[in-house]
Amino acid sequence: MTDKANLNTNLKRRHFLLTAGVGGVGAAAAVVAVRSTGDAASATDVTAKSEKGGYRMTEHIANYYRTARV
Amino acid sequence: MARMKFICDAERCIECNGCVTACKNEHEVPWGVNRRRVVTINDGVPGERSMSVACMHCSDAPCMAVCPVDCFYRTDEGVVLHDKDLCIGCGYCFYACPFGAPQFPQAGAFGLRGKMDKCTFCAGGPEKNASEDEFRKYGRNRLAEGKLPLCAEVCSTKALLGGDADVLADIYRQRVTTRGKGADIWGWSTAYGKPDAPAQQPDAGGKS
Repeated sequence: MTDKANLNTNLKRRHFLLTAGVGGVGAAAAVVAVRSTGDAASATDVTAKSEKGGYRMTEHIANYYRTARV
Repeated sequence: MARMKFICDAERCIECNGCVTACKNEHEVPWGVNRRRVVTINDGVPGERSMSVACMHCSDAPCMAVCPVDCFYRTDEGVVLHDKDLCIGCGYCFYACPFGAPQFPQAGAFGLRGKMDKCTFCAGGPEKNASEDEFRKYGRNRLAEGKLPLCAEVCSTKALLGGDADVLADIYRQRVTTRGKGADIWGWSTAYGKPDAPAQQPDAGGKS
């Protein structure tokens, strides 16, 4: 009887450890996925920023170059 | 792709500090930080020269090389920018920079300097263009507005030039070939009124 009770206790502990281990791995994977998605998003933002907000020849800039040639 | 550069024509700079004032006002730079300043060589001696100096946005920037947290990056236009969220204020960039461009809002021992601040070529930072965060950390993003750095635009004698390096090189080359050197460049009309402006030539026969 005592041995059987010990066996049940050991099995319960194993199940608990197994559950905790699987849960931990799952949580870590979720964090990594979120972080990688964030990095990709920020990289996309930087690319988009350089495409839409960089230097371009405008009338204002052309006027500056013209006056600087004095 | 255009490459952004500053160039200061030392023959024209009159040390008015208009570029310094305009920069501080435009970006609301905190007290004690000067992103741009005017340096005078041989001050008070005949032949003195003044130059407006800030971050030169080096092609091989030493600040980028020494930064331990790699917070610097270069845009497609060659502007060297940094991320203040990553900067730890160690000051290595300050020691590496030959122009003294990196500035720190506080004076103190290691870790007490605050985030580094420097000229951004009026190109903001990694935040969203024209956002509140970008202005608070880096100042205005004039490049995104289709403009050039204000310091260059307000320069009264057009000594400080900023913009596409190819265009600036053409402008500077034209100036040098027009004004000559030595005594030829004394006085604006003497330097720039000669070649193709005969109406501005003095008609006195005494000079020849």
